[in-house]
Amino acid sequence: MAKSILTVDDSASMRQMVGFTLRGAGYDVIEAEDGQEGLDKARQMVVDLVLTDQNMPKMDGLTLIKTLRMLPAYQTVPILMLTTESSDSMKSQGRAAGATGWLVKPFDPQKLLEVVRKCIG
Amino acid sequence: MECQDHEEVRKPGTGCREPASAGEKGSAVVTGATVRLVGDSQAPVDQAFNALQRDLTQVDALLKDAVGQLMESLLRLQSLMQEQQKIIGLAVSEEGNQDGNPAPGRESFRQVVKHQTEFNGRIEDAVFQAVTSLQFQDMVTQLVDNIQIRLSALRDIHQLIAHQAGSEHSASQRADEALVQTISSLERKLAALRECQVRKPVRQADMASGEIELF
Repeated sequence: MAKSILTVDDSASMRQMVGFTLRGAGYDVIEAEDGQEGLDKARQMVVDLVLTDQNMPKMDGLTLIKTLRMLPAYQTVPILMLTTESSDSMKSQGRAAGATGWLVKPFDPQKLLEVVRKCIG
Repeated sequence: MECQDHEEVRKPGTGCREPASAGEKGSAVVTGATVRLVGDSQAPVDQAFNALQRDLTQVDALLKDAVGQLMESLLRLQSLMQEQQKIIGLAVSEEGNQDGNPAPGRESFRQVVKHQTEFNGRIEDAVFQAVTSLQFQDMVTQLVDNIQIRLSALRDIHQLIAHQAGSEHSASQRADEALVQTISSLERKLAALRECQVRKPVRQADMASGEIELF
């Protein structure tokens, strides 16, 4: 059975590109367009990995990570941040919130796949 | 106390005015003209800000549309490549079933399969490079959003100043209170502008793929 990945981004084209990359490699991809929708979908179905943007309406990526980490089902699930933000202070906040890793946009599909495979195989 | 003279200066603490000296009169004329100019600029400056915001919205919409269509093309290309790979896989499997029956051209068939697989790998590399490059749209959208916020703040600031100028020009009785309110609003708008600059969401200057850090 294919591993499932939840991708959360308010940009439709970014969701399309992430989906294109991950589906092409055989992963099941679930999409959400903001942190709140991401949280709702993560509650409906426990996924194998979460890939989230930071700057989004309704709920940002850091808040989503903190909220997910409070759920028992998501305490060990890898959560990657995929964002244009690249400052050390943001990365520190991400680490403190419980992010597994930080990827700065634009992403290289091959490198994204390497990281995802490293996290969930 | 009523103020009669148009060319006058503010009397400290009273909110009213007293007759001006000759030099002060000249200065007051210039100030009055400047105030009128600022007040009169409100409509054209508003129009310019609105036009700028409409243009930015149009740029954003065009980019989204173009990148959306390009992504559709890439999805179609990916789908065709996967179909082609399936056909090659079937052909290889058929060829494998004929083991023991030396078929003419078997070696050339293997060469074709090898080259085709290499080509597919190269096509995938090119498609992935395109995916990296197309992410410029996401960055442009974020930058446009940031510019829109700053434009709105600048328009509000100009409106406040122009409104204040209009109040001064009409020698409003409540000019001092209005000025205090205007300054307070200006400070808030300027703080919002500074915040926009500090919180600039996109600092990338090229489309090289970003760094990856696993914690």
